[in-house]
Amino acid sequence: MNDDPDDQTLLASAYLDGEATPDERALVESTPELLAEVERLRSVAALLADVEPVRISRREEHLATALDAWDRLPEAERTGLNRDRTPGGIVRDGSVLAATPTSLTRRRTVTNRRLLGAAAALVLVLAGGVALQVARSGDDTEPLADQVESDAPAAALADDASEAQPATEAASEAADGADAGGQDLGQTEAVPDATRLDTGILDAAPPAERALEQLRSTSDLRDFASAAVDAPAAPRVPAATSAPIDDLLTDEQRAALDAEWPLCLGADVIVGPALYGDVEVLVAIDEGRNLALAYLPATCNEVARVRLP
Amino acid sequence: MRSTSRTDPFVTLPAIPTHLDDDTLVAAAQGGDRNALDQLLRRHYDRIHAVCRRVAGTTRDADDACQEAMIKIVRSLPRFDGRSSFGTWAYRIAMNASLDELRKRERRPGLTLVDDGRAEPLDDLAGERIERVTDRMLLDAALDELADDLRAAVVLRDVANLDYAEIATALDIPIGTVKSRISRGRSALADLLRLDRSEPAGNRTGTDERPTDDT
Repeated sequence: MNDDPDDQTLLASAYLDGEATPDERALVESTPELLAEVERLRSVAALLADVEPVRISRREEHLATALDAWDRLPEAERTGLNRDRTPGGIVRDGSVLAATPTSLTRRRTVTNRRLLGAAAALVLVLAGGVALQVARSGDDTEPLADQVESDAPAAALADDASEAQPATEAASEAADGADAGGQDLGQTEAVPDATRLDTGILDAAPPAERALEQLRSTSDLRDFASAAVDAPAAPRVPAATSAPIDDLLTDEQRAALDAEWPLCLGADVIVGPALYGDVEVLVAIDEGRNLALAYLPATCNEVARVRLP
Repeated sequence: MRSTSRTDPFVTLPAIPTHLDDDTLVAAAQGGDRNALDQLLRRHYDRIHAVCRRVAGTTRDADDACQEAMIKIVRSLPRFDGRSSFGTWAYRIAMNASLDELRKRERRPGLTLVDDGRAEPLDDLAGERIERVTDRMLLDAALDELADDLRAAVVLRDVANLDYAEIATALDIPIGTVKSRISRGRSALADLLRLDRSEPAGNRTGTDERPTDDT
């Protein structure tokens, strides 16, 4: 055994921490002086580890301040810096919108679904002579919009008026949806006109698919989002328009699309609109947390979330 | 989060399971999950504060250092790349914040206790408390005597409970240096606390095992 006190302490300290080799352990355990040194160092370690507890009020104060600092971080800084994935969906890195053919197809699909759902809702609300009159005339529908507004049922989340989506808004979104379907994204109208509703997009869809997906539970939400994730990659658009569709949109059109379907709550991928209970929500996926989210697109307020399988 | 959403029967805002590991919580927090961040911070808070307490010395300085460390952890989390464990990374931040606090304190005028011999007699309980406080002050004083590099290594081992490899990562030094610094730091503390080999002060703490020792 080395008689140098520093070497003995080094050995005893490593032994205490379980960092000694088998030979060193055997040496320590067979040498009383080394065992005494181990005990001396163990006492120091025990004293150091015996820290007085923190007052709860102080701990909570520190935690609250830290979380407040988190809340003050810009959204992009908080969530966007580690994002570089674009698997089959619309992925936003900071303020940059990246798109793939698959994602665009998905967006177009939900656009159509959204348009159809809004149109169906409109038909329900306007049932009767007023609707017939509009269908026949195809005229400006401003009076109708007033009627819609007054007749619109209260939204499910009625205690927050700003979050309710009256039928006029749905009608407006229908117009926007029609735009997103390939025409005039920059324009907004209170009610889509008959010619725009009679596009091939509408005609191509069977009536059964014209309503928004009805979600009654988080299980439904999970299934709805999972189906989108698991959907086969969409075929690429024909060669003449092989660029991603988002690339074909003007900045104005893209901005309108983003305004209609904002990525909220850390979501990366838009799945599409749906009815959650009786509230129209936008369903999206947070890939980082593997969550399906349902939220109000107008306010980004969360309605439901569920972990994806 | 909108309060009205909580009244919706379909709404579920599941609490994060407590068994989720640090990596999962970090990923969730980096994805914007505030609840995950809250849980992560709570999980490590006591040890972060303990590191600050042992390095910064006084409770007040430790509190300041801990608060600073928590804010730095939160602000730096989006850039945390996971090359070390979250704990190693967080304790290193706590260590640096504490050393900064220590340097600030060294620039402040200190207070000195004066024994004027007129102390009132104490009951047993008060005497015990005084003894504990005295022990803490002696330990604080001893730590204060220690060089920063030795103190950092010892505190990360005996308070933060990091192993040698993690300490090497946290302090960016070789493992051999970690081993040496811990040994020298403990020995110096034992000398300063007058713990000699013939009378191990394990009796003083009444503990046979280090509370933090899981290696």
